[in-house]
Amino acid sequence: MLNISLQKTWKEFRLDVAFEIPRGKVTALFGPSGAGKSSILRIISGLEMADRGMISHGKEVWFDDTKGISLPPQQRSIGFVFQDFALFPHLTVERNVAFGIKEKRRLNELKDLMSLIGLSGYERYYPAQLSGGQKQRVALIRALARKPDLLLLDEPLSALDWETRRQLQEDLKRITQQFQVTTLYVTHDITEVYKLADYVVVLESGRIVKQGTPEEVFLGKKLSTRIQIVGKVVSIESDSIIAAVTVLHDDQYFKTLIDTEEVDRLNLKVGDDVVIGAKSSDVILFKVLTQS
Amino acid sequence: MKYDLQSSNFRAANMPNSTSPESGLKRFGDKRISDLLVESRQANVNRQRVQEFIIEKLLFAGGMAAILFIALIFIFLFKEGAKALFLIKPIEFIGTHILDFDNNRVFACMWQPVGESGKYSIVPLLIGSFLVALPATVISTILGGGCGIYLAEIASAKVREIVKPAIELLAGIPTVVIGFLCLTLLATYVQNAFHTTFRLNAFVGAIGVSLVIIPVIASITDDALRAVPNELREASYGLGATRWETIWKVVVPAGISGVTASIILGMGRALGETMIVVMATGNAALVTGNIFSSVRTMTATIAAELGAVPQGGPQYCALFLVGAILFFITFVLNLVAEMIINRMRKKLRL
Repeated sequence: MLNISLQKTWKEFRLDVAFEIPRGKVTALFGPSGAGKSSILRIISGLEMADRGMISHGKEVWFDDTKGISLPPQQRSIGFVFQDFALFPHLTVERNVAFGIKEKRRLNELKDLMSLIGLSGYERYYPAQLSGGQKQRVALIRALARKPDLLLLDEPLSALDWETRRQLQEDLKRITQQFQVTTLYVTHDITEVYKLADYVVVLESGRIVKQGTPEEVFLGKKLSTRIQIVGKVVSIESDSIIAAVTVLHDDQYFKTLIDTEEVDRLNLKVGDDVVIGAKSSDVILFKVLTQS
Repeated sequence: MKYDLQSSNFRAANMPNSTSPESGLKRFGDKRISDLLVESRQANVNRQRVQEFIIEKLLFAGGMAAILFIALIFIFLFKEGAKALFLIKPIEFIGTHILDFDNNRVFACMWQPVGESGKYSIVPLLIGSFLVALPATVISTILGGGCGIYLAEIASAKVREIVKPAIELLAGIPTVVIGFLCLTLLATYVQNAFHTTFRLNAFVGAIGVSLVIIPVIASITDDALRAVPNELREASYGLGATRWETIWKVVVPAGISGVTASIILGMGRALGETMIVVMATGNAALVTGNIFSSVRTMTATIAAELGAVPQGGPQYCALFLVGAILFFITFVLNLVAEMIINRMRKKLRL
C-alpha cells in the first residue's frame, strides 16, 4: 500500500491530492491534460519535490516535509516508463534492460525478460532500429527488470499509433499481472482505464474529483446498466433530430441512435472514447438454432 | 483557348457553361468578386515564387562561394608548394646525408634552409607541431571536457551564468598576449618545476595553446551535453542510477558525437595555432620525442621565415609546401571528425 498526500503550487496551478495505491493492483490516474497527472507521477518518483505532504510505501517513508525526509529517485524502489520511451540510444536493447539490474547474478534473467516481451533475438539491436511499440516494450521491461515496488507509467501508449496501442494494452495487462507489481498508470484514454485498471483516480485541475473502480467512477452506482461496451467513436451521421453513432469495440462495430442534441451537449467527436450502456428491461433474446 | 480581353472576363469568354452570370453572386465591375480574389491570390503566389527563387539562388551562391574560396586557396597553396618538388629533390624533404663530426656520412633530418646547400627536412617541423598539439589536446580535453560536463550537468544556473561567459572570454584573449605570458612567466615556472634543459619548450607551448582550445572544447561539450534529452537523465535516475552513473553511463555517451567533434576541432586549432608557439616553444627544429625539448612547429616556421625569403626561391616554395601539408592534415582531421560524427549520429539517430 502506497500512501500519498501532496501539495504543490506552481505559478497559477495548485496541486492538492491525497490517495492510496493498493498493493499489487493497477491504479489509473485519469484526467484531461493539464490536470496534474504527470506532476504527481514525477513527485512520487522523486524527480520533482512537493511543497508539502507525505509519501510512504508500507513503513518506508519516501517523502515527508515535516521530518525533512526526501529520498532521491535512485533510493525509491520505482520503475518509470516515459511517454517517449527514453531508451538510452547508445546502448543495445539488452544493455538498456540490464541498466537497472544491480546484481550481476540476475543478468541471466535477461533472456527470459526478452522473451516475455516477444523480443528474443533483438538483444543486440539499438533502440533506433526498433519500432515504437517495440521500444515501449523494451522500456516497460527495463523498468520491471529491477523488480521495483512501484511501477510508474506516464501515458506510455500515447506516442503510438492506434493499432500498436491496442496490441500493447494486452501486453501491459499480461505483464503487470505476471509481475504482480503495484502500478500507477497515468492516462487520458478511458479505454485504457477500462482495459487495464483495477482502480481509478479521476483528476481535474489539480484535485481529485472521484475515485473507485472504473465501473463505479464512470457509470455511477445508481445506473443499473447490465451491458457496458467501451469503444471509440468512428463515425457520427446526424441530421437535425437524430444521430447514428458508430462505436468500435475490439473488432466489432456497434451502431446506436441518439438525439442530435445529446451529441452537441456531450460535444461528441470522432475519436472520442465512449461507454455504451444498456439496461436489461427491453432486451430481446434470440436463440440461435443450430442444425444438429 | 480564346481570351476575351475586351471584357477581361475569362470565365465568361472561355467556359461555355458559365456564359451567363450566375445569379446571387456578388459582382465588382464586370468581374465576380471571387474571381478577383483568385487573381490577387495568384499574383501573391507568383510574387512569393520569385522571392523564393531569388533567395534560394543567393543562398546557393553563398555556399558555392565558400567552396570556391577553399578550392582557390587549395590550388594556390599546392601550386606554389609543388614548385618546391622541382627545385628540391623530394627525398630532401625527409632528410639528407651529411658529414658528422667524425666525417661519417649519416642520414639526418634537418630544417636549415639557408646557404648553398639548404636542408629542407619537414620531419622536425611535423614532430614539432604534433609535440605541441597532442599534449595541448590532451590537457584541454581533460580540463575543457571536465569544464563542459560541469557546466552542463552539475553547475547551478547562477554559476553557469558567470562561468560560461568567463570561459568564452578566455577564447577572446589575443594569442600574442598568451604567448607573452608563456614566454615571461610560465616558462620560468615550468623550468623550476621540471628542471628542464630548455627554458622554452614544447610543453610550455602546449599549455599556452591549450588555453586557447579549452574554451572551444568546454563550450561545444556543454552544448552537446545539454542537447541530450532530459528524459534520459530522468530515466536513468528512475532506474536507480546515481548522479555520477547518470553522467558517465548515460549523458556523456549519448552526447559523445558532440564531445568528439569538439576534441577534434580543438586539435585542428592546436595544429594551426601560430603566435603562441612562435613565442613559447624555442623554435629549434630538433628531431626529438622529448616534450621538454625546444621544437619548431610548421606554423611557426612559416610565420617566422616567409616574410624574409626571396619570392620563388627554394625556401619560399618549401614553406608553401609546409603550408600545403598543414592544410592537408587539418583537412583530413576535419573530414575524419565529420565521418565519426555522422556514423555515431546514424547509429544513435540523435
